[in-house]
Amino acid sequence: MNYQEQLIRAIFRPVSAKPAKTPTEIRSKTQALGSPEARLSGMTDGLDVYRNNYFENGIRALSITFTSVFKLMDESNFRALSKEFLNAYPKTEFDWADYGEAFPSFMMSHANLAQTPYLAEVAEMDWHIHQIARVQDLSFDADSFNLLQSVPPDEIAFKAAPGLSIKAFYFPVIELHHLAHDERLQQPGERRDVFMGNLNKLMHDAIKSDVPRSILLWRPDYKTEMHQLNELELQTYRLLIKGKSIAETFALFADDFTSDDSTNDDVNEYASRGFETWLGEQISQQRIYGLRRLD
Amino acid sequence: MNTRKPDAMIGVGLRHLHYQDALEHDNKQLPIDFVEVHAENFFAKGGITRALLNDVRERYPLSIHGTSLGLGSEVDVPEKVLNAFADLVNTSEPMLVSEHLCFNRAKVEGQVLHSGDLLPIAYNKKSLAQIGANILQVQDAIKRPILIENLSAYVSANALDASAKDTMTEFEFLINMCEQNGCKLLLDLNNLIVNALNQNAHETNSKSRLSQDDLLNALSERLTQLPPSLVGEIHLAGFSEQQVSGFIVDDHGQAVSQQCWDLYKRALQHFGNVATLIEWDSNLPPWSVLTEQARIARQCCNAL
Repeated sequence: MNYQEQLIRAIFRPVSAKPAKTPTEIRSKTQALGSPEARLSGMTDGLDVYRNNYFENGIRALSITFTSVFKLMDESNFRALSKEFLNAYPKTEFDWADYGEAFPSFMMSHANLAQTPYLAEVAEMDWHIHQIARVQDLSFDADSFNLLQSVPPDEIAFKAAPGLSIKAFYFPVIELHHLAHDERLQQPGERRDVFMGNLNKLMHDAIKSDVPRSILLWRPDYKTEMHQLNELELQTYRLLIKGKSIAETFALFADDFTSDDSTNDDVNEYASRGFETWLGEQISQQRIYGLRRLD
Repeated sequence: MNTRKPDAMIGVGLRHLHYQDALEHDNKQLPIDFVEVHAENFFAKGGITRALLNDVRERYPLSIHGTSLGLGSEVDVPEKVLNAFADLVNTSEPMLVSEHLCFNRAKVEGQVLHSGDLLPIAYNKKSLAQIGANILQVQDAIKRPILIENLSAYVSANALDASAKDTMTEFEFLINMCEQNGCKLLLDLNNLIVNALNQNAHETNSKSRLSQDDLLNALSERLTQLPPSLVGEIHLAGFSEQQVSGFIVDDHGQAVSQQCWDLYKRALQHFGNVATLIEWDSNLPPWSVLTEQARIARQCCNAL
């Protein structure tokens, strides 16, 4: 084993394998330095610097990527959790910004988080938001809508906004995200009371529900947006993401869509507005950036 | 004796906390000539960071400082990472591009683990060939010479692995590296000071420790071993008092230390006015405090 591998192995050694030194141990070791043996020992103490750097850099990186989790958890608990994760999942990525994909599943299976299962889903949402924030920019292609005048709709598909994707969550992650980031909700008062009352109801519903919510994520400009989809929206966006023609989306509306759940008035009302209204809303929300010919 | 003109470029490291402050001014209103950004913070293909970099470029000349390539590593730089680095350099057209004299990764049980740190390499012919090959690969990709920064180190290759012996000094290694590969040096004076203080603290007992003057004299004597033509940039920084296992850590978490200013003045005597950057990466101060550090650096240059 060569030097570079030795040093990397030493830095990534599980934390429990070497207890932290007490200040007394450090002082006595420093005072004894001078002999060749002591020099060797002293220099290997330098490993502590690199191990400390690994954990501190890693905790900081995770707190940036999983910013909502960081804000919703006690800081010391977040640090302890992150340190465990850094031990369990050694960094293989060059960029700390790419590290942590397994953090949500790690949280999901962590015994200490059994009472707060929503945090793992918040982490998953954080990960997607972070990834979408870094995807390639796109420009809105207004001219492409002229295709509607000249090309049959079964030969045209939508161009989606950067990062547009659908994710499933049981817990009300959008509201939890607001709770973490809206400073007004950190202050006691009526706004917070109303919000927390609604959030508690949503959390209660989530625990009882066996059907996940479908959340649309996309990046209009620089900030990732989230929107909970109703049933019709979910079907339209599934078609869009699969690259299906706009004729198929149009058919959803033309087929006089009705929800399986006859009490779902929102969906039925939404369907009744028609395709053109829907399209105008998606463009104004910057979820659709243009049209393209199908191959 | 140097023959450089007394008009050094003075810059500051631009970190997230200061983006807005930097964009509210420009380099004509402030005592700074350029800003340095860490390459990895702008590796994203799109989003706000690339837009931000474009805004910064309109106000300041840029220096792109890589922290993750680990050019001394025995494991190759992946093509994807090299392309991201080259794309950033080629699109942002910085005045300076730099990386470090370090490795950062190794293959362990079939997977490459990446420390995310700057780890010291052995100063021998094998390391020289390794880092030389990687430097040439990067320079080919970015179509320009790169600056390589000397490191603060807390272990030596010798101490961990007797077969990884140093066969030359750090400065001999740096000189050979530059001459063989057409790169230049980013001379970090704080790193020299941190290494000297740590080495002194760990190799001697308290009674025989060097005085500050002796330390500065020893370091400035070492600097004379470096040909002025090889030094393309100087980094200045400070360090926190808090130590880890008895080591001062090069955390760039304080104002430039007095030792560093003193060594800088002596370095300027030998190297002439060199592009100089104030590094402050943690425990960040207000923007005005950071730019004041740049003003002091300029005073040092003007006093030459």
